[in-house]
Amino acid sequence: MAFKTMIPLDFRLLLRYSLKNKKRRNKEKVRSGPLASAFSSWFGYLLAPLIFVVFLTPVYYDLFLKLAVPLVKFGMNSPFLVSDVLLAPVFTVTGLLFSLQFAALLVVELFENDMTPLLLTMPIRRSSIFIVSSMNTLLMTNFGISMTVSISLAYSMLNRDRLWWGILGICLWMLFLIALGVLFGLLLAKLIGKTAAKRASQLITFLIVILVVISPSVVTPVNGLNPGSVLRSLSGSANLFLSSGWPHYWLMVALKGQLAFLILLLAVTVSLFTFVFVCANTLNYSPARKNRDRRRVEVVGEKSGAKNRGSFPLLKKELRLMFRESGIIWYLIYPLAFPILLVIGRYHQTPFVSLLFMIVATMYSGMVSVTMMVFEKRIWPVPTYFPVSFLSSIRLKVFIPVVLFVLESLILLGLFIAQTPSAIYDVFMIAPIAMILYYCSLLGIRLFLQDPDRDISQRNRLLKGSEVLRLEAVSIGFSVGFYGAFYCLKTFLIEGSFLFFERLPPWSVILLLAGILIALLALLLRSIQMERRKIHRLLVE
Amino acid sequence: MIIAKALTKKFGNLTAVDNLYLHVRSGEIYSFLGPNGAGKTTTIRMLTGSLSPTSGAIEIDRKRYEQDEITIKRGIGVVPDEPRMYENLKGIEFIEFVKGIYHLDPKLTDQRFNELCAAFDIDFLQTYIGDYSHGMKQKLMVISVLMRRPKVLFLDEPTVGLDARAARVLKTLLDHFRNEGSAILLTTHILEIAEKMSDRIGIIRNGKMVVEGSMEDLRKIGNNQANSLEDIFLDLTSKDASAG
Repeated sequence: MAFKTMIPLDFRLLLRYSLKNKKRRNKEKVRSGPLASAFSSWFGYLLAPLIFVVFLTPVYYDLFLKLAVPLVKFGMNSPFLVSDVLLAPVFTVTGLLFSLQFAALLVVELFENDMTPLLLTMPIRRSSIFIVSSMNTLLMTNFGISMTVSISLAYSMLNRDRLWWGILGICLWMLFLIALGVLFGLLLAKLIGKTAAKRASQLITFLIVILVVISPSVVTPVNGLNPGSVLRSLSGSANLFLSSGWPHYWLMVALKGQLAFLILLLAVTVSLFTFVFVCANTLNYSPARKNRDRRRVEVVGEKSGAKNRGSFPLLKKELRLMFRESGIIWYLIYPLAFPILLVIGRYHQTPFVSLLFMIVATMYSGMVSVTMMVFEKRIWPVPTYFPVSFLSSIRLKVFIPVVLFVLESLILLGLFIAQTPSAIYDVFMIAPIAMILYYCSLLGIRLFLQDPDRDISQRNRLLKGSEVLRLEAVSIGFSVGFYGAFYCLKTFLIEGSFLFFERLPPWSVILLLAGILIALLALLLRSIQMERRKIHRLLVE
Repeated sequence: MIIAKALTKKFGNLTAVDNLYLHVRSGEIYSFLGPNGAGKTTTIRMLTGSLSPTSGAIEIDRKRYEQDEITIKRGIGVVPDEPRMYENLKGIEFIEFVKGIYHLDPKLTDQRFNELCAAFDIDFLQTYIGDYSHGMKQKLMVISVLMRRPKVLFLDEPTVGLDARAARVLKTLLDHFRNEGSAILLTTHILEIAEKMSDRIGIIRNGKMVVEGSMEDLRKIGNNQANSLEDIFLDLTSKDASAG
């Protein structure tokens, strides 16, 4: 109770009701307990990053352990380990990304929250609104938290005899990064508008997600290296990143048991929070609008029409909206970037990477189409006033992802051929890939249209769990089926009989595999026709 | 220009619009009034082709949606009750999209567009629509419609969010459009606008047309020459107030 009275009432109420407001719609039973229930739902949101932490920490720990060789052994007069040299820039990059992502998301939360104008009319301190917004924002930095916590945790685990000391250090480090993020947020709020903040947060989130996803793949081969070679490749950055001016240096030294640096970190964090708290009370909660833009527009406005006579207006509109939607950017880049990384790093064999691309691209093709449907849903019924049939708009939402992913598959094929000339035969897979992409896009659109009143406020929940599973099943089923049969046929024709095919006469193997491919093709064509009919029916209804 | 015959829309058991007859002529401003939930927006959505009626017929400029949906939509202008636009497009990109999708003559449209921008004090088109206030969105929506000079205009609460100057400009322009022969159907809760601007007024309640006519006709129905539209409206819709 004493703790409760220490927290101002306006802050407590604001936190409690803002979290209640955030509760998902499908959770009808909302506990109306005191502040504790608010914290429990806060914890609920942090569950996802916690899962990532559990998954990532052992990967990093394993790496750091292998590199935990004192620099003294390499003739360097330094109290640090080889892992410290590797970790110092990693701490800086991940910490900075987390703080920037947090800052950008905070600006969006401050300006986009419909409740903010109303709250400002109530007897609530601006600092309370700002801090509660910051706490709500923290829930959205899933990947940033995961990356930062798992790296710090893995590092502190190296000093097992000072585990509690390590946990204290991590908590302080996180608080420092949050304080830094809030400070950046305050500055950003004064400088940029809502859309720019959204773009920034999307870009940073994207960078962090790439780091989270690819780091285990990168870490695995680094594990095989010896500490000496790692040290040689990083010696240039050692002097820069292991200088005592960096906050991560304070953390690293503090985790090694130096209390003074822990106190320094604490002092800086407290100072930052105090500064932010004081400034928050003077914050103007309206998006920054720049006069510079206004002046520029007047000139453009006079000439705008002459150059902007819209040919292909629908296509242009779709492409513009697509490339400004972070979710779609992710869907487009990931299926290409991840296989390229695997191919360049030679971590996996070409057939595995090809199949991986097929599965991910076909599934994402459906998701891209669904996300593009959301553009129209957001402004419904305005699209129905336009003098174009809605079906032609849908056609574009199906074809655009298909074309883009086919282009990606051609790029990958080029890479494969450069690596393994026999991959040239994979050119025969382009047509089936295009057809699966087309089918998945149609399926995504149809699933979306089946429930037009769905909640689109949460980008990662545009489709229901069962719908996502269905899309995944179709994507995996057709991809594995086509690629499996094709790969067997290709291997059989190039390298001769293998596995159980050795027991069969060659003509029957070819007949069997070609038959599977033809059957799959027929099934796919039939499924496409059915989906098209279903979409027509849904639109007519 | 705008004709609705026995227009009915049912949502399950609820009849939102019930056997409605409507005729808006060329060169006429028709104000469509009614309390909240009376069926105004549903009617407009049916008349603009974004909602199919359960029964009844609609004719816009002697064409029917069943046969000429796209042609009708190319000729009408709609300002919906909420100015929803693609938030990730810049204002100028939305205008460009409208120009393309309606196949507008660039020379004519550009001139009108620049005049409208000046009249409505629009100088924010290079920023994203997502950053606009409600009023800015409403201005953009209004000019994207008016720059096309449509023969038939549907405006659902067009002055909501507009500042006094922009509202005045809009009223002047609507007057001008009427004089040039456009048929204009508008809904508004600001009865003063309806009273001053409209040639005829229709009042709808519970999906049914309660009364229709010029201000003079309405005064006669109200049996009091001195009645304002507000008095007549409150009188005719008072059953809702007592019921609700």
